[in-house]
Amino acid sequence: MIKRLILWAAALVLFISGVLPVLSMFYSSLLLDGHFSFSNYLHIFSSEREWILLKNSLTLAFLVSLISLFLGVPLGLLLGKADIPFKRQLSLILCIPILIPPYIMAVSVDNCLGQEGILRLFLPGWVLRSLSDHYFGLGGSVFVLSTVYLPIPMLLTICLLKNVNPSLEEAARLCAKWPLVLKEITLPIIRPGLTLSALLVFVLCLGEFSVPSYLRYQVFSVESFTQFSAVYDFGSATAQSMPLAVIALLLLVAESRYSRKNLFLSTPLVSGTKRLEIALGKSRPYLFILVSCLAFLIVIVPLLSLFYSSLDLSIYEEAIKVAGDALLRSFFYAFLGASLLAVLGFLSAYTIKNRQIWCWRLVDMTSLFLFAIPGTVLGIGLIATWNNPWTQFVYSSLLIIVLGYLARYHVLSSRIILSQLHLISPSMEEAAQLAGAGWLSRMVFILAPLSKRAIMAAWLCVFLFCLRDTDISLIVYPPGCETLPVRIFTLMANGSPGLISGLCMLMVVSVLVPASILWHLRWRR
Amino acid sequence: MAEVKLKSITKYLDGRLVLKDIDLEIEKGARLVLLGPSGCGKTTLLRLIAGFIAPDEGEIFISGKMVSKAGEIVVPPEERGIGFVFQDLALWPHMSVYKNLEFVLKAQGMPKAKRKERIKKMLEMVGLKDLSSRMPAQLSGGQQQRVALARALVSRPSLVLMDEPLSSLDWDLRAHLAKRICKLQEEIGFTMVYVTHDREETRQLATQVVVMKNGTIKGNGEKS
Repeated sequence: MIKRLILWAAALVLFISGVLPVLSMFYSSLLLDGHFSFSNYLHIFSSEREWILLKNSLTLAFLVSLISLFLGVPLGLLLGKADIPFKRQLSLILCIPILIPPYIMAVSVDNCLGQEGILRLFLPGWVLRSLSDHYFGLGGSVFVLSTVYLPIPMLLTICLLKNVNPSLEEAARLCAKWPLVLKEITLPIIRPGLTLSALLVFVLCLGEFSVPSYLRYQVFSVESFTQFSAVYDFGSATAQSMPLAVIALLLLVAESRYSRKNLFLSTPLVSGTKRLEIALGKSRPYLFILVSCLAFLIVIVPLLSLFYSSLDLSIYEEAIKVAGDALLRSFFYAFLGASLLAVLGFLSAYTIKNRQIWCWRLVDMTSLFLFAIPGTVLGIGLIATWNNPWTQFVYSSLLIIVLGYLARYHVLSSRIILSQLHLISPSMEEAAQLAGAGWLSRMVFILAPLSKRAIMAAWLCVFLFCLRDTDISLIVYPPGCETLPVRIFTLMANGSPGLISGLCMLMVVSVLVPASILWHLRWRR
Repeated sequence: MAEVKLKSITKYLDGRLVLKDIDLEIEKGARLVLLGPSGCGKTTLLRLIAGFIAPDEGEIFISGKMVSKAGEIVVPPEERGIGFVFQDLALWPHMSVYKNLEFVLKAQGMPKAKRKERIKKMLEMVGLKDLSSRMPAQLSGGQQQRVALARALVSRPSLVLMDEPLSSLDWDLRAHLAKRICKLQEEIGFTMVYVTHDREETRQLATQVVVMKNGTIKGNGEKS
């Protein structure tokens, strides 16, 4: 009884924090002056501008997912399977952009290209001017977001490669060289995962707001945010968010069906067996230089430029004065969100693995959907749900931000812990049950300790995502509850470039410390 | 001349000594069974012969040619002309039975018409000619085992390594398939190295038996 109660409560938290806002947002978009009406949607379909926005959103998402997939998969193969030197360090460097708020990468690249930027030391003025002219708009947005989302296909490729049964590759290696083995055996086996990574990039890009907003590229999410924050046209903002939510939902359903048909289960590695590694031979130094140059160009140079333009102690003193409180709040909210999500993720993972309640699949799909829909959609939904006289204690406090975190990042904690639970034999729990341990005792004394590392990794991963969150926080933050990414974003309009760079560096350092710990945990595993 | 020759082979895995100073010669056309308990180094020995890993000490020769030496794989697996039947069979799950066999021949650059003919003949030999379009997941355990065998033999290798391929099957099926393996070996004439911990399988299959324990060879002899 207590088991069902707790598992249902965990599922309910997900539905209240995520599903309820989306539904209530949809409901409110159908109301005009208190009456039922489709006018908000009719306006969208009849306005030429809205179609242009949709085209821009889809173009941006398509180009970014294409580029990040075509770069991320080869990088994943090189860093996950080949004998390239310093692969851990290179992977960490390439992952930095996804760990920081995306607009910081946009600011960094802008800094590089600016008149005072670091690139002026290496490039002639006319080249810089030309690059700078093309930066604002589609080109810059595609470049920055491809850099930001490149780690998704790259990391997924690395993880998926670890799940391929080694003997499938060994059997192929007996008759074929590595390129043919990768083309005919390895890549087809991990294709469902790669498709998921491309779709994830596509939907995340579709909802990305801060980068197109900074680079002045008009897309649906920017328009939706403008309608909401500047004009406060709730109905229009909601209606404009719905196409993005519907596209995200349709793509995830299609992906789920495709994956189910094409899923090739792998056996875990028998202890003592080593996976085959691709020996790069003579091309090893060249490929190392190529990957290093890429990491240097798309990550290190922009961040160095940020550092270069904030090279003054007084900037950091001012940054701490202006945003010290926001930084502390960010850490506290992220700590709270990550701790709650570690518990919720553990319970959800248990529910999904053991199919403990009838809606276990819904829990799984919903959490993925809530991660994929634009943060602005979720943010507007949260306000539509909680902005009423009876729930002001949620709406006007940090609770609304934490609820946003719970909904958006639930999938990260549940999937990380689920992968660990799959490795624990059911007989561990059964043995404790036969010994007379109740469900709660089995969870606390058997499963939780066995999943300790996965829970810690999930906590840190969610902590990082909460810390960098901009989309939800920017929409829902109540007065006095600003987080650091929100404070930087709002200061960008009128703050001095030096201060903005200093604040961005503060954010980068705040994220890199926990990220390094997470990385250390991951590689030790 | 010996088909396979192992000279003073030592191998460590994760800092643990798995094989210690192994010397072994396998005659051409022999059916050698490596017998020993789990963890005694039988599979590691097969992986060394296949070229998936390099020895830490010693040398390996196949058909008189040095293929591995200390810390180095001299001849990569795809150039050794070896067939391998894995313990978990390792059938490529996204390919049909036909495609599983075709991949091997395609990788060797065999023309399409010849490939088709060879696969047809091989599937007839293992009694699977009607199942060529099936996916591995649509086959029974015994059928999957025969596909794995066909895939290992389709390129007509001179040496076939088998790592407990029958261990997951029931007793009747094991006996039946062991007979089939012997028949195929006699027909085609390949040298076979078969790993098992089952004495009954050893009795059925071996012309030469090597007993292993704790990474060393405890006994080596012709079957009477």
